[in-house]
Amino acid sequence: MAEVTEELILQLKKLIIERLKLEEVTTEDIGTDDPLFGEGLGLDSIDALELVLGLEKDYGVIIPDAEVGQKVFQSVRTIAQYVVDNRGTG
Amino acid sequence: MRREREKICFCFPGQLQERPHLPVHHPLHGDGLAREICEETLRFSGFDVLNFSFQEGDWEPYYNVKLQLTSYVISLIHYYWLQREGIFPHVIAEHSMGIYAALAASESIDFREGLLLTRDIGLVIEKWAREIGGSMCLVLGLGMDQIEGIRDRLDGYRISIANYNGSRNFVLSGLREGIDRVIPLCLDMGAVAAHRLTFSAPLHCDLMEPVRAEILGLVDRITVRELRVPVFNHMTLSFLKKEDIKPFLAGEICRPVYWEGCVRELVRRGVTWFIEVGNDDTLCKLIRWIDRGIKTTATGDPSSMGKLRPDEVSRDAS
Repeated sequence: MAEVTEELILQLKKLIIERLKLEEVTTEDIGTDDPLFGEGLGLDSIDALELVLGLEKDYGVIIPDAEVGQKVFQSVRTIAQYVVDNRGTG
Repeated sequence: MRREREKICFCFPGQLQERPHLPVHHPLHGDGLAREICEETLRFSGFDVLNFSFQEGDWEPYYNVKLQLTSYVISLIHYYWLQREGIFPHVIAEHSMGIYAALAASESIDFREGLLLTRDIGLVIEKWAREIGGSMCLVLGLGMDQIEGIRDRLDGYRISIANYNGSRNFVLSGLREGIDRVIPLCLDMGAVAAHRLTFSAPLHCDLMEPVRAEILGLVDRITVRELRVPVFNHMTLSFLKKEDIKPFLAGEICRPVYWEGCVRELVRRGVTWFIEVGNDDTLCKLIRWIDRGIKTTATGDPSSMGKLRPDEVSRDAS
């Protein structure tokens, strides 16, 4: 089973910053295990839609529904794990 | 280096979805101008913005009216702050109930008239909502064809598209049981999110037609003046004229909000910078989806006001 790499984590943090146009945020500001929604980065469902599109475009992975999305978008690490597990299967 | 001139659109958002968090260090508590406006709001409408409660009348149970008044007042405080910083719009756009603050900003109506309109129209809407049993929901991630398919399956529940916010972002209105059925159907079809909004009325659809005349009666009491800043009409994709305003106010609750088309047309007409004037950044996020290249700023972001420097801003509307 493929492992999540630090490089992938960094790429995903850059994707979040770029897709969401978070001009004041750097990759160092985003904790790998920090929650992305609510108390964490404060993202909402409109942001989630942007991330769904970004993951599809950059990694070819599809988030099929809201239930999967809720699990995947818990943190950068959970996104990375989903990418590793599903890359190339979309 | 000489900065390129910006063409600015101030965007006034619709009703907040929840009571805003206004801790004691929030500028609304400490700023003299904000305090003055909050006091004026209390004096003329009976509503205490900072405590989110009515101090008079029997309107306390009307949560959405309180949200509408809060949205109106915060938007205008932010607008006056921008003016104080020397930042002025070339054009104004508005989303849904943002029309009242937009018209007050354009000086077509005055602050008090807008305040009372917001309260009184809000009360008419809320009372009607309780009678008819309406609701609204946000659906993200499905395209128009899928939304239309779901509407067809729920024929009889009078589901309408209330907001065209983007290619995969819609707000639906309808009878409460209909919205209850729409949400799981949307989720089954793969929506990224589908959830109920705070509104108790089925806004922006023909279920609101029965109160149009009553709202027109309220609107007829106010004096409409020439607009000092043009306000864009998302329905006709043209600027509102003075004589359009009363029918627009009475009719807009029965018609959808065409936000995506509005933004695209304003960009086509040369707008380079959208500034959302309100407590949140929802419109900025909608604009990001519609046109990723366009510059957006939300005044609700506490760090944003300091970044809006007059030297970056052209006052020349030509």
